[in-house]
Amino acid sequence: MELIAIKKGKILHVQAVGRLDASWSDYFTDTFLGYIRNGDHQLVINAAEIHFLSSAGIRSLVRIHKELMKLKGRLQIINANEFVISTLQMTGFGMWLTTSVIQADDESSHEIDKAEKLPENCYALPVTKPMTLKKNENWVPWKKIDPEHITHLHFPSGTFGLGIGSPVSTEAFENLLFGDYLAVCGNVVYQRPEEKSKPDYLLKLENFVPDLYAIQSLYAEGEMSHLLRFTPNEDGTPVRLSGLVKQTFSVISASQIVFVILAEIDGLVGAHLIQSPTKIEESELPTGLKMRDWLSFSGERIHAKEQALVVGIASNSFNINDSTSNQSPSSMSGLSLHAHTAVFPYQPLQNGQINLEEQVQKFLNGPPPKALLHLIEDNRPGNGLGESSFIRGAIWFAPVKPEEAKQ
Amino acid sequence: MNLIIGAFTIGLILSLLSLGMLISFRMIKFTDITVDGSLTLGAALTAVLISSGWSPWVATFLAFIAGMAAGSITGVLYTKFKIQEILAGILMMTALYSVNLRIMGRSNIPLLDTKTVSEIPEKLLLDFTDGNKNLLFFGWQVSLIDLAVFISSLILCALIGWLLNKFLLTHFGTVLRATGNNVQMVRAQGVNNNKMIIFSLALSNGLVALSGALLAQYQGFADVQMGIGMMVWGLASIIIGEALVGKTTIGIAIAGTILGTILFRLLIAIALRWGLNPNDLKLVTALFVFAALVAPQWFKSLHKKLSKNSHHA
Amino acid sequence: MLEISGISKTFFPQTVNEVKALRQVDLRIEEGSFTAIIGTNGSGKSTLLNAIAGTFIPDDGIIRVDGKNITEWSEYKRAQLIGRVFQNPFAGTAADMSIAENIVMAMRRGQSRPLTRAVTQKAKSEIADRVRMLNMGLEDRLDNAIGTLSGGQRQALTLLMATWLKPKLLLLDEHTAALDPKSAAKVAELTKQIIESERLTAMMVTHSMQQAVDLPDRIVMMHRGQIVEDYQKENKKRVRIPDLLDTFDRVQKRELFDETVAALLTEQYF
Ligand SMILES: Nc1ncnc2c1ncn2[C@@H]1O[C@H](COP(=O)(O)OP(=O)(O)OP(=O)(O)O)[C@@H](O)[C@H]1O
Ligand SMILES: [Mg+2]
Repeated sequence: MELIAIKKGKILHVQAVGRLDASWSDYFTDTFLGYIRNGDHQLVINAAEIHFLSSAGIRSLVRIHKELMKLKGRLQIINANEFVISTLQMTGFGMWLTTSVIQADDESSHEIDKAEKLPENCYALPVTKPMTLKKNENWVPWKKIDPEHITHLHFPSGTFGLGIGSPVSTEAFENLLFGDYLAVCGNVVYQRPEEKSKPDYLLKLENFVPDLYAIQSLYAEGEMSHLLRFTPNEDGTPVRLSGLVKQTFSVISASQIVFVILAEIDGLVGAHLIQSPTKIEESELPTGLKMRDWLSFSGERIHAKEQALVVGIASNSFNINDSTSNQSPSSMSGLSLHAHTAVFPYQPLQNGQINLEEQVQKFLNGPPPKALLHLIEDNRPGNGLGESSFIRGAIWFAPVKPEEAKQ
Repeated sequence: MNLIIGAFTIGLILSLLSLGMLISFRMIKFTDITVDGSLTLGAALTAVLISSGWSPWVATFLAFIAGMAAGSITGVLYTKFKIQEILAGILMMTALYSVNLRIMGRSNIPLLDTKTVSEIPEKLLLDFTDGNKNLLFFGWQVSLIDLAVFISSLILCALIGWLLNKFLLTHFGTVLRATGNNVQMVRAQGVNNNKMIIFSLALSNGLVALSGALLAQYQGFADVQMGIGMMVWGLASIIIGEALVGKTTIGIAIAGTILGTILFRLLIAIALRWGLNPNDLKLVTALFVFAALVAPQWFKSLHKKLSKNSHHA
Repeated sequence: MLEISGISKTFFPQTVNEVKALRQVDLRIEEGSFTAIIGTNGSGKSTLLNAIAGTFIPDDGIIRVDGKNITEWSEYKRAQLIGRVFQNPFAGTAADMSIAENIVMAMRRGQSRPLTRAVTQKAKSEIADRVRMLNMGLEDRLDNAIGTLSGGQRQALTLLMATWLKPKLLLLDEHTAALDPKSAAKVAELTKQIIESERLTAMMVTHSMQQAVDLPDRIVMMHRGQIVEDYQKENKKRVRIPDLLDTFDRVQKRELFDETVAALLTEQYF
């Protein structure tokens, strides 16, 4: 079996030559899932030279079809010979057969007016409730924790958060396990402060509102104002986190934004707590190799090809981690960023404008998250791993006002 | 004929040296240079004891014991003090040179008209021939005394060869042989490999000293230089023996070593007779051993080259 | 059964080549248990086995067998208690000697070596009986030199030799690693059989995750001369190959966490 793909407008034409049977169906499926992963959701199979189609081949087509349905895409088969046509019709899949290719709906056509001149692939979203940001820094690293540092946070839909927290429990205070977490659209993903364990999560269900005891948090409430869809850079290189965030600052004028990213991962660099700060004995930041006992560092660019759900805040003019000082962002990119990401098994995203809440729900109700990281820009000279980067995906963002400095 | 019987007798006597070296070189794979010294040690001790009136039997036995002592010291130097094997042998050999001089008091002791271990067979043979000192043997005049020495050496040699074979096939002998094969394995089987090496060197040098003791009695003198080059001699004999009969079993290897030693001695006797300068003897022996060591590799590479060429053709 | 407390071994101490091959290792092995030891190259697995077998005396720490302190015992003395199979198929047998002679030596492991004939007819028929069970046709070749056999055959014989007299402890150091896959599988199967039927206490170093998961009832992971993970009983039952790989990853990640990472995280995490 040979597959030759040619892109015509929004449609990918694939000429298939050979037998589509059990021995080729896996190759066929994988190749087509690859097209879908690359963002081609309008597929036309030119079946003129498919000489044979077995049940295994049909199963493969069904699998592709299902995948496309999830993404509002379409599968069409043209130029099929008598044998393929009769096979498909007998098995009840005649609907894929067409004589002339149906043009894809222009995904952006039924979109709200693009009054503000937005870049291609950027969508302004209706906002009734602007984003506000609350910071909770009761606990300053690396103090010994006492109960006063704890804030009980609730995360209904429409809230976003990241920081260090513990699930609410009846445990004694000393036994609370504080670890990294993120909250998005009413769900919480939390990493137990252990090296081995997978992240745990709390989902929005009926009237259940996830909550946490947090000792550090960035808590945003409101609606995202924009959506930007992105694909690899023109030279085929993946999109770096700081580059992506900078694009958002060029769309809206703000000094600080809150964002959520859903994207296929090129590589993540990050760290997470592996021991709860409740175990702190001396109020002194661990130095050197002692930090190994508290944090785990990815050590390489990890989780390639999986899907990231990132929640973060960024500023292009001040250091968000230290609102009391007027320092400008310290990182090389000229941005100050704080982001946590949960990692999920890959699932393709639909093209065009998609709904944040729906997409997040799709991931959180699917296979469980594999990891949770506090993203780090590894700018060590010489052997630095660089920053996290993504292949394609979506970033939702909204401006927030910098909070008044607390005393 | 006397020449031939003489060569055979010396060959038999020296085959004890070769058998000793068979243990060190081939069984435990230890290149032991002590041999040059312990041969002289055996000769010197016997000569001194016999000339001061001791029984030749006791003297010979004590020579054996002294050789064992020398071998054990080499073994201890190697195992306990971790001195390389060649160096341990050289140290011992050098030390023995002085020891031997001390024992003898001078560099040469003649043993004329003294009793030797071949006394009893001599007497028996004389009784048998009614006191006739010469015997006609297939038309050859043979000295009865020489014949007696030859027969006693033959018996002794056969006895020792047989005992050695028996010994090497016992449980103890089996691990001794394995020590030269794979030390790690031997230790894993719970054997103190160091003790094994010390014992083997003792046994080996005991036999070498025994050979020296008999040689001194046969030649009628002990000389402080007589051990020089004997190690190479023994090696040459072992190699000839292996070429003659192979080494498929212990018995064959032992028989081969004895045969090899005799044959080598015969070759030397013939060469000397044909006018080889005795001073060149050691050089010829060394060249022979060199050739015997190198030839197999050389043949192999030649064979390879030839077969390569034939492939090209 | 075996109790190791705080043993350390440094090679080339106080030189540029210093290697801390074992650092304060503690380990208890229960009677009748079968433990796999896994870990990256140079993590000290062989050194640990060598310390137990007595190839060297550790710099520090105590080794006990059944409460008896054997730390200062020499290697050959410990052979009364310990049977060994090495990674190198040539290491466990004497190549120039016959199968029968090799096995006869193993029949008296750690015992006296009397001056009686070693390979008797009786011994030979006993050997033939046991060798027949290997199903390698070796029973007809008892007088052949072991050096003429394949690595797999030699390793099977070494295993037989190490267990001929029931050892208190059987040590296997990657004993299938140098074999082709088929022989390796065969020797692994044989190992399992012998250990189970004789109820041996065994420790096995392996690089095969599959072996580690399938054969033993405990997995100990070493890294840099230390035991970093120990899956026993229930935990061992639960553990799967990906878990072991994960653990390797974690251990290695920790390794990459150096001072510069600490500085980076101080700046960016907090
Ligand atoms: N006899 C020795 N002399 C010097 N260094 C040694 C010796 N034996 C081991 N080492 C060193 O000790 C460290 C641990 O080696 P060891 O052989 O125990 O590792 P291992 O875990 O068995 O590795 P592998 O999987 O490669 O067999 C290595 O750095 C090695 O170089
Ligand atoms: Mg090893």
